Amino acid sequence: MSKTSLYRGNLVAIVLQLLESEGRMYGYEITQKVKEKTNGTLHIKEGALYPVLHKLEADDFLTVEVEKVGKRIRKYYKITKSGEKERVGQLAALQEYMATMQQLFDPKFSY
Amino acid sequence: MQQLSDDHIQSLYIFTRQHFVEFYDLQTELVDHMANGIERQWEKHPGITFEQARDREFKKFGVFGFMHVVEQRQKAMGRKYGKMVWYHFVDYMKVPKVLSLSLAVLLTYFVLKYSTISDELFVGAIIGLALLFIAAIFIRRRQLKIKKEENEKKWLFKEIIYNQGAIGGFAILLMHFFNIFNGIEDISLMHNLWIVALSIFICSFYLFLYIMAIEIPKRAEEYLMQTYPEYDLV
Repeated sequence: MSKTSLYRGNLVAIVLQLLESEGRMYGYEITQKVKEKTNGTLHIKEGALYPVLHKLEADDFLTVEVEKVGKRIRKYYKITKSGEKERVGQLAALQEYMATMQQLFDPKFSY
Repeated sequence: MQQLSDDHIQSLYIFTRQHFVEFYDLQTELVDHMANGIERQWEKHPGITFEQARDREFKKFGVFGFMHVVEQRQKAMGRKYGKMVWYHFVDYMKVPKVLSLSLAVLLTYFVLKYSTISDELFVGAIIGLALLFIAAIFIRRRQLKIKKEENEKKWLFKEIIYNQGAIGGFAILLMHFFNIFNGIEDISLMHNLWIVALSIFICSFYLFLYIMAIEIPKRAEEYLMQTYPEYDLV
């Protein structure tokens, strides 16, 4: 299994966490920030990022703001209160998953 | 840092349209994304042309290009619309709107229980309703066409708002025609509880149609402004 497919399942958690810590961000900025924070290990695919952003927006976990940058219109995403709750839930699920994996693969953690 | 000119931006809009992104809201987001990527590439490789940088950025979207993003956007907007219809419906379960809904259910119950409608009257009413509905859609289409000519930009959520009511209406009309060809059962002989249930079902059905065909389109501008903060920027 490639690293990318492992990350893809956690893209929602990654996006929500990033928006919570960085404030409002636009799509391209998110891809670059993830690359920067992971020292280039993780590349979020554009074709995967936008569907996640649009789904989170439709579910009211994200809200949007726009700004005109020259002739361009830039769309910023911001986390909402319900998005914050979702982030907490996603992180808890992720931590639980990691703990389970550790139990499974690391004998020191098994009972 | 070298920046994209207005002509470049315009050509990126054309590029997204050529790659099956017909809605302006999504075009805008993808154009900004591609523009940022191209500028970043120019920073790293100043020698490459606009077209080379654009094609490299496009490749990052994978073999299906923008198609997956478009499909998922349509799905997301469909979900948003479904939720909106549901919130409107739930609003009719609260005071004061629940009073008018209860009255409609009560009236439907009495009509089903005590009135006898001849087949001719029933068929005539359905055909009349169908003609009225087709006329309403025709007028609405003409209005939309005029608006479209004034402003060529297409907005995905706007299309959903204006089209779903029409689709729902046709579905209900088809159901009525199906009833005609299958004969109408004598409802007044049914058990009272079944008539109550049928009245609630019929009223809820028509309430959904009313919400989709009239209530939401009436507030379309308000909802479009909420969905697209850029709506009044362009």
